[in-house]
Amino acid sequence: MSEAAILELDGLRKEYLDVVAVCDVSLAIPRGEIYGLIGPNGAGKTTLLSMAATTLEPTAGHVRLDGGELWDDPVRARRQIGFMPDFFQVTRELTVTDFLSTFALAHGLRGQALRDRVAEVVALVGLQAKAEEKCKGLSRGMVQRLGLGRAIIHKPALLLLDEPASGLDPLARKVLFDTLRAIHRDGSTIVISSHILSELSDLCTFVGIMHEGEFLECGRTREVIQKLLPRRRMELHVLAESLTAAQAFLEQTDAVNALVEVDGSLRFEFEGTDEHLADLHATLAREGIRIVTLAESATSLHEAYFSLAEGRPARD
Amino acid sequence: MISLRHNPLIWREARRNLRPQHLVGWGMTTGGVMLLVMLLLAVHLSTENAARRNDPDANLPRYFAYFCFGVQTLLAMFIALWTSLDAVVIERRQDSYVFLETLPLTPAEKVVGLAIGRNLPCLLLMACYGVVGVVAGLAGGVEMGRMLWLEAILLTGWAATVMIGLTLSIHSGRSSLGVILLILYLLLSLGITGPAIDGEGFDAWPMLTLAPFASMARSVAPLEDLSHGRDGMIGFVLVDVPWQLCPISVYLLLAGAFFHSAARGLSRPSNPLARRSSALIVAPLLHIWLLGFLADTFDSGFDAYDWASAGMLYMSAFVSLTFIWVLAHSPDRQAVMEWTERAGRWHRWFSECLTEKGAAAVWPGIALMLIAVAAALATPHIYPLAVYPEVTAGLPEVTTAILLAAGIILPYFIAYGCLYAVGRLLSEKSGPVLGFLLFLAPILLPLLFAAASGRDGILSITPIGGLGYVCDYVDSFNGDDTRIDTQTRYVVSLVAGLALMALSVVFLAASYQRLYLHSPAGKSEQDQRGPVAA
Repeated sequence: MSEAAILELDGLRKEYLDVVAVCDVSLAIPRGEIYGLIGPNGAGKTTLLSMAATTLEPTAGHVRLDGGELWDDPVRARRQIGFMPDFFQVTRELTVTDFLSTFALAHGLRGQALRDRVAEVVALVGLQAKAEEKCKGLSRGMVQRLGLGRAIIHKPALLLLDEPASGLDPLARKVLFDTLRAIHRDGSTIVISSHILSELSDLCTFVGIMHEGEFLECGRTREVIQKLLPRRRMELHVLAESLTAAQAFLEQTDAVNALVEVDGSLRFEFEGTDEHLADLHATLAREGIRIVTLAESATSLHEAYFSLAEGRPARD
Repeated sequence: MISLRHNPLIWREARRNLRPQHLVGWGMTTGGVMLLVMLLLAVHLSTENAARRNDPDANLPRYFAYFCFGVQTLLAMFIALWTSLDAVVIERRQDSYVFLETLPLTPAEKVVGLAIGRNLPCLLLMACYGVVGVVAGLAGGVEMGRMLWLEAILLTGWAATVMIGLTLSIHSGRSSLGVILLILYLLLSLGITGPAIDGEGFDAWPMLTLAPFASMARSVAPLEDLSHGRDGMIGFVLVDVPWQLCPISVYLLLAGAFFHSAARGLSRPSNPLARRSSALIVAPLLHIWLLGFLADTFDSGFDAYDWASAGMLYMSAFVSLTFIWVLAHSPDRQAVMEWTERAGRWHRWFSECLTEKGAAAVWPGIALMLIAVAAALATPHIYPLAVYPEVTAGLPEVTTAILLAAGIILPYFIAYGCLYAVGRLLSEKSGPVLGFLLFLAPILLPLLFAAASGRDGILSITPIGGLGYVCDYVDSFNGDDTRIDTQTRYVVSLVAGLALMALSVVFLAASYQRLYLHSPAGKSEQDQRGPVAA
């Protein structure tokens, strides 16, 4: 067991008759990180998260939470885990406050402490205006946020989120991810699966790419992207007066390929480490080019995933 | 262990069901129950008073106690079953089951929370009617001890009913096959036999079905109306014990067994309903109970009539064995869901069932049940219905009529409740359609049977027609003795019940196949898509 791992999967396997949904997966989720699970339909993400959340028993293998076997004492594990499934509804007849209070009560909160924590979570997920309204009147985005509130009501050490942003509009997604960052700052470890890869790229410190029940790659997000995409996709935004000079300079740089101008910005592929990129930035500045931003394209994780998945033969 | 006061499920259900707006719903439910009891009681009392020239005013407190206990009985055995059957099914339908599953409570705490939480209004009403009934009974000269025994029977009956309902509810989302087996078991067990009571001709009686009703009638009836002017004692092996211990003990045994099953169902997603070791404890206990209380019947020798009793004993043993088979070997959710998702044809589904570990034993279980039904049909006094009249010996004849009506209505009600709960889970339309079918079946099926056999009496062997017993009794007071042959009623009732079950099972199978073979289960909308960039 890794010293820093809060959740460890060891030879985890889930079979449905002749279909192997999760195939002998071994993985350690480091404490205090945000771990992103990526994969297509049927990759095994939901099965994996369900097994870690004690809602699905593995066919074989071990799940360890803080070093202890999960299924030896699932009630203890549930006290440490907050789980938000991919699809759920809340109890329609209860108010938002009553719904959260039920779970706060289950986690041992009583009296004023319970009321304070519920109010705190209601504020954190932005549902103050709906606190005393019945859940049946909530929109999809609000239900998602309430589900997140339920998962964090007990300040879990490990938060498991299965497609938390699905069905949300861009603004609601931003609110959700901002909330997750705030929860992470409070010390929770977060494991999140999502189809929205660019957002995972921004959010996750670690990432694991699943395909047909196996992990193809996993590690720090930056390292995974660098490994899969040696050529990083960059976007340079300079003042208009420097555009021509910047283009000319980059065309002469060996590490730069596929340079194009799009709407006054320069996009190119860069082959090199972070140090090389820093050197490029400094050289551009020395050349008198007035840089507004030099940033890596947010779609890198998306492309990294496809560069990996496209080369994989389909398993029977 | 979380105290009852802090059990979040009780708290949640209180917030959910005890709001002012729910008073209307519960008021209507209770009102319906009260009207039914008042109707039956009015018939009973008017005929009793007319026959014995009683002074109705002098007996008013006793009649009121009768009414209160009647409402209590219906709440405990009917309404509690209904609310419990819905407990987990509603969570699954609302897609909130995962929250129940991941609550950091022990399975026992969850079962207690659901049992009490879902039945809070029912329990409150039962308590109110119980207190008022006891006070009225005391005023009417009914002995306190008999009423306390009655309350104990109702409470244990409530516990058994709720645990059976919860187990079915938990199991219904996992394996329809398992639920069908349990329903079959329940229908058979409705006739589980009880012992003779103090020489009053109680050779055997269907315990689960009639104990609360018979207890109510016996507990409030004047002692002089009973055979020996005193309440009965029964033998348990060599000791005489109050007869009330017989239903109480079987209710406790069943409540315990089903509590265990419900807790296991909530503990791990793929748990069968009982460990084999637990099942092996329940089986001998049931046999000890049966043999202990029926020892007197064994001693009495076997003539033509006792041949039927022997058949009943044999049947009871079968039923208890079947219970063990069903509980210990009922297929788990994962296995059944996977079979139905994957199998393209029924024959493959069957073959998978037979080859998978743990499920193979289901088929011997079904075979046992079929043998049990065949044995019942072969018994001279058709089991279990033929024993109904025995339970009412020593009571006013109209009570017999009421009990017979209740004994016919209750199995229909339970079958309806179980199938409705399962059907609603399978698809939105199944529940109402099943409900409609089950509403029509008791009316249409007897009509068909009556037309085929040329016996008009068949028409009264239905939940509606069951009230015909009461009408017969009233008619007999008017000098009309053209009663329907009782055996005919029993035979047709059993056949109609089995036909109804077959119809329902076929419908369930069709729903089951349609749901799982034509729309992939367990796939959310997001899962249909691959990864996409924002």
